[in-house]
Amino acid sequence: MERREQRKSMNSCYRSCRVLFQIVVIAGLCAIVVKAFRLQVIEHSFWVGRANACLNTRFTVPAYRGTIYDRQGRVLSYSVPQPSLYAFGDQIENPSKTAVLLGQILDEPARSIEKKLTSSGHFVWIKRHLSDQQASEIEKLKAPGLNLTDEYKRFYPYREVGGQVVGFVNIDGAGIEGIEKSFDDVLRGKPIPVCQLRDGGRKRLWLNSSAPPEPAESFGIKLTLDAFIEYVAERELEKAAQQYRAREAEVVVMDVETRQVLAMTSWPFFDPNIIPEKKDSKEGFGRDHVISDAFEPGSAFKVFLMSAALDQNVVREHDTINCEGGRCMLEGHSIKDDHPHGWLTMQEVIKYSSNIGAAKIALRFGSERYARYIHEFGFGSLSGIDLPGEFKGLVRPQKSWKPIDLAVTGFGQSIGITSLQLTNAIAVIACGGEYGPPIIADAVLDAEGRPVRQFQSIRTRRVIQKRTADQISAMMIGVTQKGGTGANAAPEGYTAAGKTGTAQVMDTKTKRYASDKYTAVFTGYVPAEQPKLVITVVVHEPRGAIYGGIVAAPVFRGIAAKVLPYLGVIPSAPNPTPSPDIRTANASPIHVKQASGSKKTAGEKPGPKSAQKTVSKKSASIKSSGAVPIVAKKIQPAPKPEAPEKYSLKIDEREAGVY
Amino acid sequence: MKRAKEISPIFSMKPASDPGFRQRDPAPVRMRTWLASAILLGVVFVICAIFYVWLYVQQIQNGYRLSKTYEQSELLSTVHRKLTIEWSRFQDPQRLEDIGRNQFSLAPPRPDQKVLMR
Repeated sequence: MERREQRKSMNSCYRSCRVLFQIVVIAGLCAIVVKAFRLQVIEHSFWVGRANACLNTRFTVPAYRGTIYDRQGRVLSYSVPQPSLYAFGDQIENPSKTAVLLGQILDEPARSIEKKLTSSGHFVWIKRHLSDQQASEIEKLKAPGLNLTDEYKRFYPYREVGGQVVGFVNIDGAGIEGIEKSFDDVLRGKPIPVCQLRDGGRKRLWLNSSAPPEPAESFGIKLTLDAFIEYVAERELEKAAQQYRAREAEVVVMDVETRQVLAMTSWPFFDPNIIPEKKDSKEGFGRDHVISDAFEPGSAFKVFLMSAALDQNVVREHDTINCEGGRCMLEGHSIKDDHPHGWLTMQEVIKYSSNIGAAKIALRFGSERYARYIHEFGFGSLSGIDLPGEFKGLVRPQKSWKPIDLAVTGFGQSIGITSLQLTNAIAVIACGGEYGPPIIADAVLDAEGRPVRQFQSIRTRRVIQKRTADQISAMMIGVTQKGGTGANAAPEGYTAAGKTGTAQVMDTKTKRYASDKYTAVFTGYVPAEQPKLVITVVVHEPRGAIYGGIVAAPVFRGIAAKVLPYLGVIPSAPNPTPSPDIRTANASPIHVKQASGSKKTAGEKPGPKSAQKTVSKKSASIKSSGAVPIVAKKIQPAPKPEAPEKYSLKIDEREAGVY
Repeated sequence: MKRAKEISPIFSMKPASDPGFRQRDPAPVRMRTWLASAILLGVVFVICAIFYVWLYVQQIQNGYRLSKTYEQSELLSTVHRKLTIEWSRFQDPQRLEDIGRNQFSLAPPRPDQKVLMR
């Protein structure tokens, strides 16, 4: 019985414990469920955010700023990652010691670095765009609080070649001048924000199903500019500017048919890789004077007056006009010619650049019609070129013109135009009388270099008739021929058409024309019979010589002589002096004979021994290589010149340059 | 004993019609079958779990590899860009002219050295 009782009491105790245990377990489970509910439902977003903050890291995949190319695909502007140094001031243990070490590496005063380190406890840039060597030396320091990050620096590998057209960017990569500014929206890349996991050791790992995005390059710009032509133009311009100690000089080279600007620069040049740090020195820095500065073109403007007058039949080509022996009074003002002339035909007015003749034509033509033609040629309005800071020029409203204003505007005074406007207006004459806006950007390219958008110059209006353009062309050819004011402009082997200009410069203080300051201008096109290039040269305030035919025309000739062969334009005009300069490689012996002026064929009469040796050596090397091109076989040694002294003198006169 | 004798053996060769013959109790057989299935399922589950963990470890490792490769790709891209700019710098006409003049004593061709290829 006792045992039974004992068993009973044990069973009840066991049952109680069991029930209690069950209650505890159920309560525990309920607590877990409640806690889980609280974590998973009520506080879900908080804990997810906290987990993400611990594990996930956000970074941006950079997008490179688009590349700028020239028309041949040469890289003019390119972005490259460069390390930049920043610091968290509160994490720097010993600012003065760190500053000394950094000063030695960065070649900067330690005091200024220390000031940066101690000025703020937060983020501060120490130096941006370091060299790779500097970055690796800073990494070796392993100083806490110092960090390196990659930023994108813009490089201009051709330095000052096309510097004013390409422009430059600021330290944050925003376009400030030139194409960099005008196409900033296209060139600027959009960084892609990316979320990535990071473990406790701050090591990154990629667990997303998609591949990580790669750094992409934004759209690029292909310019119409040709770096070689630009270089040639710059060298020729610099030579003249230095020779005549000019204040400034400008040159524009344009394709006649397409109105593409092949070269455009102003001297002094600037290198976009070197940007002054001082804000004061940035004023006007990198400005493209070709489009932003107006000048009085002088006599170069006479061709537009003559075009308008011929187009309206106010004068005819063979009409004559009395130039009053070089001095006359018109509307109460004295007008002079540099060289006195009597009666001149229209062609001679242009050829000898008579101010009196031009003034009389302008007065006969009338201000209303003349002003209309001036605007039709594109003066007084923006050309629409894709460059920032273009100036529309200074053309006063026609209604405010007095008779003397009309007269002097006839020979290019009392009007302000830009070099680009002048070039484009000459292109109107060169292409037969149709106006089209100039273009500097050829295409927008994607990252693979495929064009996604093309730019073209569309002919918008006819300014003068084709017949008038031909008449003016004939007159402009006369300018570059013997006796013309621009006889220095024609390159050897080519015919050129152009017009000189020598304009007085207004003194900004006295508001009168200065007696010792001039602008020398030459503008024209080559070859005259099938125009390919329009070239305008403007030299401001030259010293020693002032005339456009002396100062600017040789620059025109130098550029044309080097650029036309580069563009594959074959010389058409016979050489003015018989010389063995140019020989035809695959011409028959008879042609060679004619070209050289020798009675014997090139094959019969070998050239100098040295030349012969060189050719024989070359042919031997060609034969040994197994490739004997037909052209190589046909190249003959240079015939011995009949008058070597004459040619040697000519060779010495030639100026050095790139061919 | 008598009673014990009456109880038929578990395994008997007697035909089913024999009233003394009794079939084996199906419960333990089902139990064993169930147990075997459960063990099999358990093994499969464990294998799957191990495979899953292995896959996850592989995923993590590949994540690290991918991240590292990505960094290398970025580095190579940087090097490529730097080489591109160097190559462009070498093509600078001014630099080429200087090298031609100073290092190789070259000069622009004289007129008699020019050959026109028609």
